[in-house]
Amino acid sequence: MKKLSEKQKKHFFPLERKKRWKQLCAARIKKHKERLQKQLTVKDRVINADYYKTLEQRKQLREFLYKKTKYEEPPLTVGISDEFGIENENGIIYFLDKAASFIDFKSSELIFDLKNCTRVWPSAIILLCSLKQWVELTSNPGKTPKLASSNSDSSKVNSYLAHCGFYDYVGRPKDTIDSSYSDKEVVKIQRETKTKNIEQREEDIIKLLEEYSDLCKEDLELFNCVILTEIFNNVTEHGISHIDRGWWLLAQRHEQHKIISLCIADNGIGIRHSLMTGPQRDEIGKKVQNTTLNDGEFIKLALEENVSGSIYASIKTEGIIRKKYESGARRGNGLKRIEKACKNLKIPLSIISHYGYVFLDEYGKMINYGARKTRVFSGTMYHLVIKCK
Amino acid sequence: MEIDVGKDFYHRLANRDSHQGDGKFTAIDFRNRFLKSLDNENAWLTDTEPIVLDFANVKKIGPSFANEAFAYFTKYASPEKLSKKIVFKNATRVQRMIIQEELETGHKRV
Repeated sequence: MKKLSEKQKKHFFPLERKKRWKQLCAARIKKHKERLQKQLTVKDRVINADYYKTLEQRKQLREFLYKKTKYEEPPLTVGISDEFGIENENGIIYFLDKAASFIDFKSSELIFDLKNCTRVWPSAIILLCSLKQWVELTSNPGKTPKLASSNSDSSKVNSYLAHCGFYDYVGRPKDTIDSSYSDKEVVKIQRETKTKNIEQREEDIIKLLEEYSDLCKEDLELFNCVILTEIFNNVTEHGISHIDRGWWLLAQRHEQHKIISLCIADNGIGIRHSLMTGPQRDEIGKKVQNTTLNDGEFIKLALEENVSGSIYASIKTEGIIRKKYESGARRGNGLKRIEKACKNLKIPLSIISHYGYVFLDEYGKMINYGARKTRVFSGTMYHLVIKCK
Repeated sequence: MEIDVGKDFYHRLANRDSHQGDGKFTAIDFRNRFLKSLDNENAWLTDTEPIVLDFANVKKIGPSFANEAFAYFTKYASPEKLSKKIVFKNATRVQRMIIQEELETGHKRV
């Protein structure tokens, strides 16, 4: 072999090093992927070939959804009158209209005029708290838009906002403390970032229901096992990412209306995105077109059929006549189970996710579903109304 | 073999895997720890002593957990056969209903 000259050595050696470095990197990546695959096979039982494609798709989606926004438009004032919330059936359209008018705001200042507001229901408080967190998440440091609210003419509204934890959540000083509200009747809203708190919150909700709801012991067990568990599983699996670890809940007994209103929400990617970036996207895409105006259809589909947005969801394999799922554990029944249990317990269920919404009455009948042109919730909210004793 | 699920594992059986809830005490952990011996076809061909799972100290079981921990085995056997190999002792009516529903759903291939 011809010996290299000093000049040639200087020229070729960096190239050789670069080549070797590339080979080394490729070997490391391959080894890492093999190790990951092995770990997942043992721990989480993976599954389908396009696992990495799914992960990448979801990562890109999150970067798009949570991209930083410039809040530079002129200040916006949103007037809220009468009752605000979906607990009252007549207030659903008003709630959706109002939510659609400010969720995607771009103003430097957003002011809620509550002067003529006579009642703020838990669903509305959850909406405002999730918006507050969304804004913090998507604004540039030091350029977070100002969110503010005026006092209501009704002292009951002001004192309830203080009592339920809303003022603490948004960092507003409490002017009035109304002693007519009891801490026993509420599971207050707070900034929840740790999944380990779920068990404690579940216990708080069950305690409230034991005290005030009309559910018997067995009904309460069904509620706890199926409804609470599956909602929290959805919130943690699809709603909380490394970007946003937030979730909220608020449960309140309303003595006058003889109901307990329970809201659990997250600021996650939403039901449509979850389904359409999962391994079952091709199958689901044949049924419903992936557009924002179909957000309601996607929620309806998840309530009625066995579909999953989990990255570990199974996909159909070749059968003799047609493609079928393998027997065994299979995801995608969570919302169906929630819906069925709510129907059994005569609990109205509402789900609002990004642009879409579905409202079911106590018999499981769909009283309203669809989507708006602008978002009506920054993530996904589950809302239940339980009758009191 | 008899296992006191509430004491030997955990009283809250809710998480399917590490992505759900707090990611602890998952159905996959449970299956690997207590039902590993059933995770092969041969185990279902022979008549062996059933594994008895005592639910006396279990406060709750969720559908996702039941699906991953028990319905997983419907790839080897029917729900009836499965009930002979895994016996649920002291389970409440609601707990039995949740498990049964998951076994039946898991067995279907549609």
